Amino acid sequence: MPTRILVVDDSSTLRRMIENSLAESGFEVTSCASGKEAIELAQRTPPDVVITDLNMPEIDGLALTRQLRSQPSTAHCPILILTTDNTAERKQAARQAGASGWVLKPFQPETLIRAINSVCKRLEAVR
Amino acid sequence: MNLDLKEFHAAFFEEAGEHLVVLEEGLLKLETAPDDKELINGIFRSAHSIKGTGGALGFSEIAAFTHDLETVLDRMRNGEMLPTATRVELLLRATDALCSLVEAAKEERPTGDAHLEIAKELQAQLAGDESSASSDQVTLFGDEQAAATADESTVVHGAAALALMPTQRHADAPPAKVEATKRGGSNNDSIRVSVSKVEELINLVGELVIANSMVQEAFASAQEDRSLLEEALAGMERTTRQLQEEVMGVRMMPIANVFRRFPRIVRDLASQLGKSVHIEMSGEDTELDKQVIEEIGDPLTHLVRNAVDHGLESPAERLAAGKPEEGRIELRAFHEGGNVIVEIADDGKGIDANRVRQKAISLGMISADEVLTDEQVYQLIMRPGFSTAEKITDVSGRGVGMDVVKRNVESLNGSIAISSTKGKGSCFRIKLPLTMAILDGLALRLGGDVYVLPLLSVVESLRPQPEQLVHVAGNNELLMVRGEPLPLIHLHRLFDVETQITDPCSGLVVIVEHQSRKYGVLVDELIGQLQVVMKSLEANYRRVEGVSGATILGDGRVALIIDIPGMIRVAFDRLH
Repeated sequence: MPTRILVVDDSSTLRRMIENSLAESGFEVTSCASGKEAIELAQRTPPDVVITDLNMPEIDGLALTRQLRSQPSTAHCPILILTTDNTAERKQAARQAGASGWVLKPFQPETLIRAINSVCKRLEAVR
Repeated sequence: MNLDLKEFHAAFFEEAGEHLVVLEEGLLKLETAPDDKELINGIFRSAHSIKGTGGALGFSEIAAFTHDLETVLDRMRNGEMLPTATRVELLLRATDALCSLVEAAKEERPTGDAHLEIAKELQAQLAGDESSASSDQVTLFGDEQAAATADESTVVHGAAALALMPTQRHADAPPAKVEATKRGGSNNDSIRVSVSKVEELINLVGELVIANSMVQEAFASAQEDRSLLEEALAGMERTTRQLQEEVMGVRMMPIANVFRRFPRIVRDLASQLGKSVHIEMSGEDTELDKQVIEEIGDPLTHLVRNAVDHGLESPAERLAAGKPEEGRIELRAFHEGGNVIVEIADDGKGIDANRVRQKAISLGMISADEVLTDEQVYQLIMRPGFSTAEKITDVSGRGVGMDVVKRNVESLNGSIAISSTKGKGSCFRIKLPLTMAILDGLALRLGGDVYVLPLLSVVESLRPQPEQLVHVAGNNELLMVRGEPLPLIHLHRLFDVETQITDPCSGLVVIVEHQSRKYGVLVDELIGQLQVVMKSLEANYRRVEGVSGATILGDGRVALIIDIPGMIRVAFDRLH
């Protein structure tokens, strides 16, 4: 079964870019533009990994992370933050919110895929 | 989840300590068994747990550093990287650095930068590795899932919650953690106690409650029938004694806690000195009081270092002497008559009794014509100011000397004996009490008071005959026992106690042994053997020379416990 990825980003360009590069590598990608949609989608079909932007209107990446963590179905799901932000405070906040990792934009598709594989492997190790 | 993370900190530090031990031991084994997958898995899991729990509790530096360590281990685990000697060496140094990071977090002090260098080295190992995420661009946080680990390990505060433990866990489950207070130590210390021990304690307390109500009932009818009361009291005494033993058992820990550091120490030291050393350990599961375990570490470490540095010859010297190139150090722990014996033996060059003797004479410790047994000569090396090392090496030059080793052992109510054969090796034998809280004592009367002598040091007691007494210079006497002259200490003079008995021939002399020398101690009379629970005099009053503590007797009176080394010191300081 392919790994199901949920991509959350308010920029449609970036969404497409991520979708394409991940789909090429055999991932099953669903994407949406807001945290609200993401929570609904994740409830319906819990993804294997969530990749989310940090700065989004209404529910931002951190709030989304916290909400996903509080839901039993996504409590252990790896969540990667994909952002241009590189400040230690924000990283710390993301860590505290329960994010699994932080990937900087701009990114090479390979980098993102390696990060996804790492968090999946870690989850396996824990299980 | 709104958890107070502080609550888990103590549990994390303890857990991290255990994982660090697994890491270090595992890495040491990995050097000789690089193909052992299960071993690497175990090491990896320990690093992983530290990272996970540390990260979950907000120790970001620990988590970040352990992440690099873990990633290297993960590569090795997956067979993507070979555990070469250089890498294992690096991982060992990383383990040390992680250990200091955890220590720093525990003591709530800032961490240094030392670990950053090692982190770079670890990252360098990973660099260029295909499956590695670029560390600049991707930050992987500690597994949030590992927070569950912290939830699973239950920390019990106070006794009230203890009652829940047996029903929550099976007897074969991992040990529960029970908060315990260490004498004179920080109250945050904890001891791991197996659930079965806790269950036994609860049973005994239950029995004690029943025994108590039986005594009360028997007391009501004591007018008619005393035998019921006596029976009930006997039952209560039995249960109390059992409870005491069990509670003491809670403080017991295997000596493996100390031994496990030695393979690393020996390995590092041997490579530093260009020696090849094989260390063998036995009796690691011999149990000792937690306090003894904590305090015996430094003296033992010193003895082990000494054995590697001074005891064992260089490979060339060994070959020349017809010995195998590889030196042997043996660490043994075992029970012997209510005590625990720890031996550190080497197959090195042994102690040159003649050289020690000459040195002691030149230092003025003994006179040139003094007749001493070899054992007595060896004891000289533990006198303050004595060191036979001709040049101070990097190894032996630092830290404590043999006199400190001896003092440490004695402060644990233990003793240390040395045997050695020239050319064959030496053996340091440390005798330790099982516990420091309870002492087997000999109660004696002096004036109107009761004193207690540690039974461990008592050889015999006798009523002297006038012809056994020899007066020497001043007001001092020697007691001749089977031809051996023993210095006689008048305890009443020493402690300034008023008593009718000042003539040794009307009192009793207890012969005690200290550092292979015997001394006579004059007392009024002996009361008998007893087990006493030691109370610190320092904590309740102040330090008194010659007295190691106090105890409360059955009748409620306080008896002082005599510190034999201290007593001898005071007695002879007065002489000179």
